[in-house]
Amino acid sequence: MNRWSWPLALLVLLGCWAWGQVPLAPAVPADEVLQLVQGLAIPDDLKAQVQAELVAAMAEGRLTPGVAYAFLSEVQSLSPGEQTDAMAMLVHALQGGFILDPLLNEALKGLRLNRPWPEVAGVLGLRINLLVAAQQVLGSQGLLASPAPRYGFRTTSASSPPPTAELVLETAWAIGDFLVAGGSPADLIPMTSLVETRLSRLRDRILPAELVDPVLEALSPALIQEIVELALNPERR
Amino acid sequence: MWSSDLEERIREVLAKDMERASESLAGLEDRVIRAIAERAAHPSLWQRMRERWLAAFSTPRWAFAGGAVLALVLGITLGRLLAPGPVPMSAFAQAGTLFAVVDPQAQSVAVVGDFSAWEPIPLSDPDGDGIWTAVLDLPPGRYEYAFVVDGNWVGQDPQADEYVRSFGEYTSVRYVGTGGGA
Repeated sequence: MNRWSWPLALLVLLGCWAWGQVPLAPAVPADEVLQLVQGLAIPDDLKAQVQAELVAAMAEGRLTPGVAYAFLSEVQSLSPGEQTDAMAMLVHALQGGFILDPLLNEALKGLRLNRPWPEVAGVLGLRINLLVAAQQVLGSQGLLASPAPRYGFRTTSASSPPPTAELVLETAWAIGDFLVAGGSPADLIPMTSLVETRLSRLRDRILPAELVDPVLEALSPALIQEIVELALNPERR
Repeated sequence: MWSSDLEERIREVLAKDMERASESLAGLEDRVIRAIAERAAHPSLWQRMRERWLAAFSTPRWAFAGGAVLALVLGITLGRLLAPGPVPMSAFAQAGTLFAVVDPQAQSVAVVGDFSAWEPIPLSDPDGDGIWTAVLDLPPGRYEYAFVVDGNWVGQDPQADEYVRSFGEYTSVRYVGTGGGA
């Protein structure tokens, strides 16, 4: 074998590997996301607010440009009133400092299933309220290691969101999955079980054990009830 | 006596042959040089391409680059032929997350999920055995997805870890580990 044989064999293997996997969509530049906002039929001040919050969220890794682009593309086809409604909800969620991809993906799922905007907005509103409530309750119990200025997760330079943001997201999302599927807010035991299962499965995958274990220990129907009541009665915050 | 005549006769014949040959050899060297010079001054298209190709690949750098391109093309071709074949499930799990649907009657199958902003990613069935597959390189996390078979939403994948229901439809959930496999 001459000296080129091994590099060439490596390249052959690389080619095989590259073709075997289906690539996901290429990354969308943040500028293109902001251009989409510019084209929306919404008031200029809201437009500026959305753009500023989007820039921060994308820089902090709380929002993937590709997901934002897909969502805004769908929003473009809504009526001007619905566009304004959608962007007001987005700003509210963005200002909370939450991880936004699941929220926008939820909206995309509904819109791709041809559900009307009011139905999609209802689900999004519940999800946002649950995020805020979970953040507030878990924080008040001392279960979030790094509380931050507003709702808790603002980071200034990180390119990926802190694990506490993931913890709040997964807790809120598990409760939301139960409620969105038509479950009763009074069924606290199955909801607690859902949260426990989810956090356990994500432990050491995307959630560090030192963050999850105290939550699993503190998890109870009473804790879930507090989150649900706060989410369903946001005026009590 | 007889032999000396014969020898004389042979010498005469050889002398005549040499005389004839020397006439045709006169100026041979000049004619050869001229012919070579003319050919070098007006090479054919094929000759020019061949000379350039050989000159390029006599340099190790270009030889390696050309070899690399050929190797990649060969690799991709082999990968295209081999990847959809009967590869063990464990091999898929190591390479990425396998999504599979068994439906011999289906004309088109895609997977949609939060890993693709719910845009369809087609599954393939190159050998026509009704097993449609795609392998996605997903980072660790929790993923919601569904299959779209001939335009119809199929939300409950037997391979899923759990199911959720929203907007009146089921969605499958897969937890992906640190190795990228399901």
